[in-house]
Formats: sequence, structure tokens, C-alpha cells
Amino acid sequence: MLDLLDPVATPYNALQNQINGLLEDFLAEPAAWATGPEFRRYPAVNIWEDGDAAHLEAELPGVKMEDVELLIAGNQLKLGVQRQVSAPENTAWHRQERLAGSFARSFTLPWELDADKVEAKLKDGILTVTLPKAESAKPRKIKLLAS
Amino acid sequence: MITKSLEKQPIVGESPERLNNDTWYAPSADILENNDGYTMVFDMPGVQPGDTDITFDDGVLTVEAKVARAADSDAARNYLVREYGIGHFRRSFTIRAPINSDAIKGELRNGELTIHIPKAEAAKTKKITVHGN
Repeated sequence: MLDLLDPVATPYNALQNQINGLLEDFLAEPAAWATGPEFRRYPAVNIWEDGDAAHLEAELPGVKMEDVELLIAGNQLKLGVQRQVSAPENTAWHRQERLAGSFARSFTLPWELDADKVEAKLKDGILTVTLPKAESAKPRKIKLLAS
Repeated sequence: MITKSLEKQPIVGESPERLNNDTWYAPSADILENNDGYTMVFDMPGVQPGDTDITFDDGVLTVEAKVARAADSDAARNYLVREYGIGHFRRSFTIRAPINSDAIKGELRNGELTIHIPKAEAAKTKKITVHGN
């Protein structure tokens, strides 16, 4: 229904344009080997919306809340994750499939977010973030005056 | 269009199996070795310790876990971005090295499953002391 009020359908397409690799400021450089195209899309996310809010879910097994950074500005969301995969001393690696290092991804959502009401939860390796729409972005009913 | 998470697609060319309407993924694994045994660490987000089923039979270690939230992954949601699917986990490994299969231990924390597989005593490196006259 919101499509009727929103004259430009492209905000939904804009989400597909993800700005990756904004790794300056708060995150260290990724590991030297982490430069292939697949590393720009870690962590994989699912984002859905239910009218009042957008919900982001990412699978981050073994990551603690203090290793996750979430920045909100307007309709932009930046998710940073520091993932450590450590081996004790005197161990040899046979296989490493789990990605480790610093990662960051940015998303542009179709509407402004209310940064004060954002909630994030990390349980059993799943990060769930609730991103409520800013009040100004919600459709407002216009009262018609009878003449 | 659903693109699979890279973390759940460790073996090139493998796609999730679909059996009886359930989707199964192979979890990513790290395998380490030290003198005492092998350690395998799997990514299993959303899995509780009670949902795992680890068996060692005839030299093959099978790690399986049912994911409770797989049931509502097909919920009618208005997705803006969908990069990974949600399904159960299963992966098998053949272990040819001599191990002590009775002492295999598993630990699941924060969606990460760690399995310790001790080596058989005879297989551990032993230091040999040389006596002089």
C-alpha cells in the first residue's frame, strides 16, 4: 500500500545497491587474504519489513555482542563485525572454512529510521535487529476539511 | 532470488538437499590438529545443544543438527534482501587416523559447535629418551 503514496519506486531498488568496503574509521583493515568478492558480503543478511519496521537478521556464530557495531544515520545502516577464529598453541590447521577478520557492510533502506528505537539481540549466533521507521516516514492521514 | 550464504556452502558445487520439504545445509568447518587429538569447529547458528546428533560409525563422523527456526523460514514475509536460507545442518567426515572414539566430546556455545576427537594412545607422538653410558 505504501507504493501508492511513494511516487518513486526506486527506494526499494536502492537497497540492492549495497555500499561495501567502507572499512575506514571504526574497523581495522581486513586480513590480507580477505580481499575476494565473497568477503565483501559477510555477513550474509536477510532483511524484511512489516509496515512499521525493518528487521535485519544475520548469522554470526561465535561472535559476541561487543564485536558487533551498528551505525544508523537517516536511512543508512552500517553493520560491522569482528570475527575471531583462534587456534590454541601448537595446533596445525587442516581446513579453514569459517571466515575470520573484520567485516563491514552498509545498507540503504527505503525510509528513514528512528535510531533511538533500534533494538539488537544476539543469541545462539543469530543477530536480530529491529529498525523502526522514523515517525516522519510513516504515512500520515491528511484530514480533509469540509467546505 | 535467494543466494546462499557462503558460510553454508563450503564445498564447491554442493547445493542444499531438499528432503521431505526440509532443507539441509552443510555447515562450515574448521579442522585443527595437535598432538592430543583433532578439533573440529562448526558454524551452527540457531542450534541448541539438545538439537544436535553426532554419531561416529565405522570410521565416519556424522554431525547433524535440527534447526527449530527452519520451520518459519518460509513465513510470508516481505523481504527486502534475502541472502541466506535457513535449514537443518548435516555433514559427514571420514576419519582414517586412529582415534579414541569413546572419548569424543562436543560443546555448543553461541551457535558454534566444537568437537574434540582424541587420538588413540598409540598414535600420539612419543618422545624417546636416550640413555648414555
